[in-house]
Amino acid sequence: MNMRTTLLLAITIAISSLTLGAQTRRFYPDDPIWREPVTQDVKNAVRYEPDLAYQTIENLFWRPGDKVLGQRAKNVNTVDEVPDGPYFTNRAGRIPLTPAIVARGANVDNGPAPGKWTVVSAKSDGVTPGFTIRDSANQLWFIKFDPPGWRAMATGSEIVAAKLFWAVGYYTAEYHVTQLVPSNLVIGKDTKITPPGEMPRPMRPSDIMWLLGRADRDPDGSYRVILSKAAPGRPVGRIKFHGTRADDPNDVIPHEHRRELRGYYVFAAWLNHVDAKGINSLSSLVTENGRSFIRNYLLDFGSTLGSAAVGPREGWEGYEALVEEPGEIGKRALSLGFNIPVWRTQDYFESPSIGRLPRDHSKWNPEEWWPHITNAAFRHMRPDDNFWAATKLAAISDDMIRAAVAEGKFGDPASEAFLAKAISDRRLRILQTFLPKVNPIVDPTLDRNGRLSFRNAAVDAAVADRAPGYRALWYTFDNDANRATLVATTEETQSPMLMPAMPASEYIQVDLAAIGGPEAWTKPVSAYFRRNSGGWTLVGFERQP
Amino acid sequence: MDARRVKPLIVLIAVLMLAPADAAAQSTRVDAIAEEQAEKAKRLGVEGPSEAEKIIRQVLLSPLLTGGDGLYPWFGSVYGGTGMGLGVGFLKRLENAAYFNVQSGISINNSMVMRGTFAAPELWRGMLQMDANVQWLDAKGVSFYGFGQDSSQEARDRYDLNPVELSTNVTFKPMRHVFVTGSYAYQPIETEREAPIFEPADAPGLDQDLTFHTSRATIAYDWRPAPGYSTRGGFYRASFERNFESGGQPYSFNLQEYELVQQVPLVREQFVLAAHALMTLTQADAGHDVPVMLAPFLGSGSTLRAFGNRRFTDRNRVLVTGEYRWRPSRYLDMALFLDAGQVAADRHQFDTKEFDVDWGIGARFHGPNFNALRLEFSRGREGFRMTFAGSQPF
Repeated sequence: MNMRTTLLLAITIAISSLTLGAQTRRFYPDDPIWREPVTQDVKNAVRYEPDLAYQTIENLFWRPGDKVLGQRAKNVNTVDEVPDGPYFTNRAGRIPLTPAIVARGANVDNGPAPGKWTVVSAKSDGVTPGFTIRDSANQLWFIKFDPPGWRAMATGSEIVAAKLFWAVGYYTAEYHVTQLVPSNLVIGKDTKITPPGEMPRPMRPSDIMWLLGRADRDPDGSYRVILSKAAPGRPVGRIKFHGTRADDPNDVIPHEHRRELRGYYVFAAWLNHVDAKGINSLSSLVTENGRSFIRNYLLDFGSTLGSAAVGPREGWEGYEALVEEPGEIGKRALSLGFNIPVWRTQDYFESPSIGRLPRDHSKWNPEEWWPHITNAAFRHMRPDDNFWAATKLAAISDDMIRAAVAEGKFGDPASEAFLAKAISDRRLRILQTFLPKVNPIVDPTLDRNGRLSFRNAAVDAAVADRAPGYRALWYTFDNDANRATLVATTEETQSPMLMPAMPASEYIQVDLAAIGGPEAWTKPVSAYFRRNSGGWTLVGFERQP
Repeated sequence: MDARRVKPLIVLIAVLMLAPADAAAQSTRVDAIAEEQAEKAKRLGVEGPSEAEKIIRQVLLSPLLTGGDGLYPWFGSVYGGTGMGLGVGFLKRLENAAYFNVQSGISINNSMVMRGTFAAPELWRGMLQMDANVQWLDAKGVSFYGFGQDSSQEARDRYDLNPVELSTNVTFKPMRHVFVTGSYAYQPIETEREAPIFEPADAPGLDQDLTFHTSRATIAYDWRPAPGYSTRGGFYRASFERNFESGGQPYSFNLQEYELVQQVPLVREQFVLAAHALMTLTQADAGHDVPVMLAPFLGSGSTLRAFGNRRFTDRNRVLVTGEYRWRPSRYLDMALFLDAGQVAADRHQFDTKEFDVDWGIGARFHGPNFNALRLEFSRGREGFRMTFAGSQPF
């Protein structure tokens, strides 16, 4: 054996053993993990503000991200759940939520400190104004208004959406509703403004009045506003829905393969968050426990529910993308217009306080919902991602929804009641649509007596009939070789099922499927249990799309 | 043992020992992920725009798209019937939405235009608009087929038109939707024909140097959401114009024009029924005539669309158009249309049996309040025509 041959042989063996080692072992001792590891300090992240027009063009025509669709989400733990991480922290379905907790949402204090608000910048473009102020405690806040004639519509919708996005698990800002008296605003000594078509210049009191002239004004001369607290940390950009951040060492999973970003579609559909794009988010470099890392917030929910921020929601919003599908345009062109989209003919509820929403959501199809601009994560979404999101919504009760709506302080009981019902109805339609679309078995447990229990999420949510029965295929499972050996098959009409006599094995795998019921339910889910001192621990769970 | 044989074996054993050691390093899931993160930490980059994004940003920052100051490419029409024009413009924005805009362009038939506008559209709390304009035009090959509805398509005269125009408009908006405009224009006009077909008596004003002082008063009620593109509302206008030829030539005349646009949306604007009526009447001073280049005409992408530009010219005209529009997209409207028009030497000569009619189908690509491109195919007694335009037909 010469040196060259030996080296080749050695490298081949080394690579093979590394590959085999990495590929064959299925579960580690710490599986399932419930917190995404953050092991590296983010030291050199720079702020990058993506261009909205570019993002729009990119997603319309170039479709960035992984070209291979249909892949399983890559950031789920071994029990098919999303660990707490930089985008999401498990709340609904994981911690006991109450209406009061949902109503509080991300709030940790009672709003700005008393005293004057110093304007440090202003939004001079767009239709409705916006200010960035510092309160007397030097805390930064963003002030938003309602468009004239639509008191509470944009501001209230933003608060409701923020509370509910927080409840399902996303990071959102702290929000407060208050009244702004113009005399409470003072202009910072370095504050500048860039009026349309002009160069930046120092802000004047007349600029504030000019900006306020585009906001809804109460009869007493004050303005209803919402204040959102600046997120902790240093802004470094916005959520991107494909690839990873080049300057974040902890960011190793392409974002289109993150389940919480795929599932964001379902929550956005629920709340009609048509503006669910990167620019309405914030990536912030925060330091906690001595570690610097990037946390991502969802922001700017002014275009949710019945609001389009500058006016009531347009009929097409939520039903079509900003640019419609070419095939659909062609069909409508050839039909002389008689291929009429549903949003043109349905009945709407409209009020100044909540804007415009379809009056009846009982036939609303969340699979046909469209944001203005889609993104790579939404394109990669699979039925198991939607199911995951739907299980979160199953944990949101009507009382929680009503509590969130009350926080909007719309001042219009009839419209508030309609809005709460609309949100509940949309939630129900999501459960009806996405829970039965896959095998909905959840929460399998195997006790020390060999009794296998599980739930059917679709049946529990009362959106599907019970399956006539279930079949379980029992395997011994060799974790090191990632290999299962079928031992027995059992059938029962319902949970629980009894484990048959099994050879001694540290791990067992159970494939569970419905007998009868929808076709999707006959695709088995696989549950993996590891023997522990007192019985069995669920270490793995996989659902077919 | 031969040292040359021992050395490779040592290497092999060393590698084999190292390999499991590496695999064993990932003893937990957290370790496995930490290793990936440590690996990425060695090859960090800078988060920023891609090359494509940089290019798009540059394009989007151009004055044409941002509405900001500076040079911008211009495309449009130099003069009706001269074909697509290209050029360059310069925009300077001033306080209170005022602006100064200059444009220079050349069309595919070598016609040229230079124009400058100063406009102050939001004076006196937006109730007053003023603008001042100067324009030099060199339009080549403008068509004249003779007067009357029965003019021959083959008898086509062509002339070059060279007016210089200084004009100003003042618009007062006393209430919402109501516009009252007073205008004045000073316009020396030169025309030239290389191979005249019509005798001077049959082509009044051509080949002569004329100087017009035009005063116009217009009252309009416009309740369309935007004049550039809309799907509902109406526009009703009456204009009265005095054209005085100051060089002593017999071409002074008065002009009245009445226009009506009505749009009826159906099924939440899925369909729009649109109607347009336009009547232009002139009265020449005693012993005077209306010069060809200022006379009412029909035939163009916005009047009788299946007929050539300025196909019918006379002292009076009437045009009626109906459109059935449907909206396959929020950026594309389709339309089936029918145009009927007639010119006449005297308003009393209009005859419902004498209307020229055409019909066609069109596609309009538009934004929320502007029309970007109109593409139409139309059919009339003189055949098919295709229209490319940047504006709405009415």
